[in-house]
Amino acid sequence: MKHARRNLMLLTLLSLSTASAQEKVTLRFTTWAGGDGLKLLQTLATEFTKKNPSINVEVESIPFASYDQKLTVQMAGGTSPDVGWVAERSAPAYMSSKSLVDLNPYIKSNSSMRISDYAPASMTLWKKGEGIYGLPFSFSPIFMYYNKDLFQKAGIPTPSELLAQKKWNYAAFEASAAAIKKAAPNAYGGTLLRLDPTNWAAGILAAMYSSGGDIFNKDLSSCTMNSAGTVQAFEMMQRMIKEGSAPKLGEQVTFASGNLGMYADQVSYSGQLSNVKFKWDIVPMPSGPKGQKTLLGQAGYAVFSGSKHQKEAIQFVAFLSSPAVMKRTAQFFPPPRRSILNSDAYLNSNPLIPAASLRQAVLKQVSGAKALIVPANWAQVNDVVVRNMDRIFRPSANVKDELNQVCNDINPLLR
Amino acid sequence: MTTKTPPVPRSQSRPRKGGWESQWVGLLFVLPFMLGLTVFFIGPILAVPIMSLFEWVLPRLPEWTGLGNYTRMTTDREVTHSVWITVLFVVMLVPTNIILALGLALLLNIKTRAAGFFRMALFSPVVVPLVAWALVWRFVLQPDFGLVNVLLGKLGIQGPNWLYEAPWALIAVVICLVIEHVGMNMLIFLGALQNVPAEVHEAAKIDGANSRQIFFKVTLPLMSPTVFLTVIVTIIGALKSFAPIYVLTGGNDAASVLMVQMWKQGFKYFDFGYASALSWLIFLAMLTLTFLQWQLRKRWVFYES
Repeated sequence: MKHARRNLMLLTLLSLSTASAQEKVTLRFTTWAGGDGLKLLQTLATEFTKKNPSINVEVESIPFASYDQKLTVQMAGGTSPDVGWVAERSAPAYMSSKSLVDLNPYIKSNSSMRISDYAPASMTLWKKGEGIYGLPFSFSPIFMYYNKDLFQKAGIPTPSELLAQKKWNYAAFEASAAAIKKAAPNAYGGTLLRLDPTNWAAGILAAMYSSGGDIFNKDLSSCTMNSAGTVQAFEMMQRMIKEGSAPKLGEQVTFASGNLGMYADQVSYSGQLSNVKFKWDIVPMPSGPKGQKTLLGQAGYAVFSGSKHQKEAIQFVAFLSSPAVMKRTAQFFPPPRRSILNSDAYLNSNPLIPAASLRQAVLKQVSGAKALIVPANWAQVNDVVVRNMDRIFRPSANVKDELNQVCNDINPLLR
Repeated sequence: MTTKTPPVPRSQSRPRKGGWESQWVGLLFVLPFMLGLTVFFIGPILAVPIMSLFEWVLPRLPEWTGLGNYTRMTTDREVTHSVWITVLFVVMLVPTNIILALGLALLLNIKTRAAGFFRMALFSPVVVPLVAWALVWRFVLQPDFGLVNVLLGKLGIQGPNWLYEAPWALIAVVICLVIEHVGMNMLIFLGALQNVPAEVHEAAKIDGANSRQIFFKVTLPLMSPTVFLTVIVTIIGALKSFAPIYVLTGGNDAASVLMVQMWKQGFKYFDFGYASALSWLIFLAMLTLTFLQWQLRKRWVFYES
C-alpha cells in the first residue's frame, strides 16, 4: 500500500514535469551589464514571461573582459546561450563563424518591428548580404567628460565655454590639460586612452578620425595605422604623456577619482559617477583639421545559432527592441531608434547628465560619428597594437616608425 | 626510488578483515576523487597532445593538420620571443629565490627573540592569494604615483614605468614573485638546517674549520637533497606562473612568457590547436629540465636516505 502510493506520487510528479517541459521553454540570455542595467534587464525578462507564460528567461551576467571567451567556449561545447548581447568588435567574428541567426525573415514578416526607424549607420555592422544578424540597442558616441573643479582651479575656460566660442579643438584640449597639470600637480590634465590598454580603441580613434586617420582602409584589406592622421593623434598622446599632462600607461587613475581633468568615454560610464564629490559635465569631442568626428560605439541583441529555441529567442529580441522597451533601456544606452533618440523623453532620461549637455554631446555628435568596423580576427589585430603600445608612447620614440612596424605586423593578419 | 628497505610482509600491510565487501566500500570512498581526477585531469592531459595535431579555432570544427602547429611555432616571432623571455625569467627567478631563501634561512636559524617574528613576516606573503598580491603590486609599481617610484623620487631617482618598459617589466615581475614565494623555500631550508646534527658542526669546529668552510663543506652537502628538491619545484613553478604575470602586465611583450602566450592563443584567439601545441612545448621543457637535474643530482646531492 505504502509502495503503491509512493509510486503513484512519483508518476504524477513525472508526468507533471514532462508536461511542463513540453510547454515551457527556458531561454538563457547573456549580458555583460551590471548594477542598475542588469536589474532593468531582469525586470524586462519577468515582464516578457508575464506576456508569454510559456517562455521563461534567465538573465546571466558575465563580466565584459571574459564575455566572448565564455560564449565561444560554450558554443563550441554545445551549451550555447540562446540569446544575448554582442559587442560591436566581436560581431564580425561571430558572423563569420556563422554563430548568429539571421533575423531578417522574422523582421520582414513582422510589421511591428519598424526597422526603418533605426538610424542607417546603426545597422551597417549587423547586415551581411540580405541577412540581419543582430539588432542594436546602443548607439553611443564617444564624448569628453571633464572635471569642472579642476578647470576652475586652473582658472581656464571650460570645454563647454570653448565650444560655445567655437574654439574647442585638439590644440585647446592639449593646452587645457597642460594648464590643469600645472595648477594641480597631483592630478592629470586629460587622456584619450582608457585605463586598460587593451581597450585603447576608443577616444584616440576620435582624434584619429578628425585628423583623417584610421585603423584600416575601407575594405579592411590593409592597415592605415601609419597614415598621417593616425600618427598625429598618437604623437599628441605621446607628447602629453611625456609632459606629464596625461597619465602614463599603467597609472591607475580614473576620471571618477577626481584626479583626471578630461576623459573620453560613453554615456554608460556616467553610471560610475553617481557618487563623486566633484562637479563634472560633458562636451563633444574636440574638432581637428578634418572637422569634428567621433567613434560610435555599438552593441546589439543577437540570437545564437546553437540555441534550441530560436523562435522563442527571436521573440524575446523583438520584445527588447520594441520602442516601448528601448525607451526604458535608453537611460543607459543611447537608442538607435531615431524616434526615441530625438525625443525629449530621452534627453531627460539620464539623472546625472543635463538634457542640454546630452543634446550637444550625443545627439549632435551621432550624425558625424563613425562605427568601427573590424575584421573577424580583431582580437589578434588589437593585440598587435597593445603589444607595441609602450614602445609607441616612449618619450624618445619615433611614433611614425613604431606605427609602421605595427602595420607590418597587422597587414599579414588582414590577408 | 633507490631505497633498499626490506619488503614488508604482505599479511602485515593489508589487514584482511572484511573480505571483498570492505574493499568495495573503500573503492566507493575513493570513487568521487578518482572520477574528478579522470575527468578534469587525466582526460585533458591525454586530450592536449591529440588536440595539438588539429587546426582548431573555436567555434569552428577541428581539422587535421598533423605537425602543422609545431612547424608554425618555429617561424612565429611572438613564440620565439616568448621562449627567450621565459628563459630570462627562469634564469633570473630561480637562483634569486633559492639563494635568498637559503640566506634568510641561515639568518633565522640564529636563535634570537625576533626570529619568530621575522619568520612569520617572511612567510606571510605565501598565504596571500596570488592575484590579490599582484593587484596590490600593480598599484605599488605605478609609474608616477606608485609607492616605489615616489620613494625613488625622494632619493632623486626617476623610476621607470615598471610594468610597461622592457627590461623593467620582467625584473618587476621577478621581484614581486620572489617576495611572494621566498617564504616557502625559506621554511623548507630552515627545516633542513635544523635537521643537521649539532655534533657534526662541533666535530668540524674541533677539526679547525672556519664558519665558511663549515657551511660549504658540511651544512650545504647535508642539505643537498632538500636544495635539489626545492630547485626542481621552483623551476617547475616558474615555468607555470601565469596569473600574477598576467595581472601585473596584461601580458605585454616585455613579460610575455610562454604560459601567457599559450593563454593568449587559447583564450583570446581561441586557437585551441596551437595553444595545445604550445602547452606541449612547456611540458617538454619542464620534463627535460627535471630529467637533466635528475641525472646531474648524482654529482651534487649527497646523503640521500
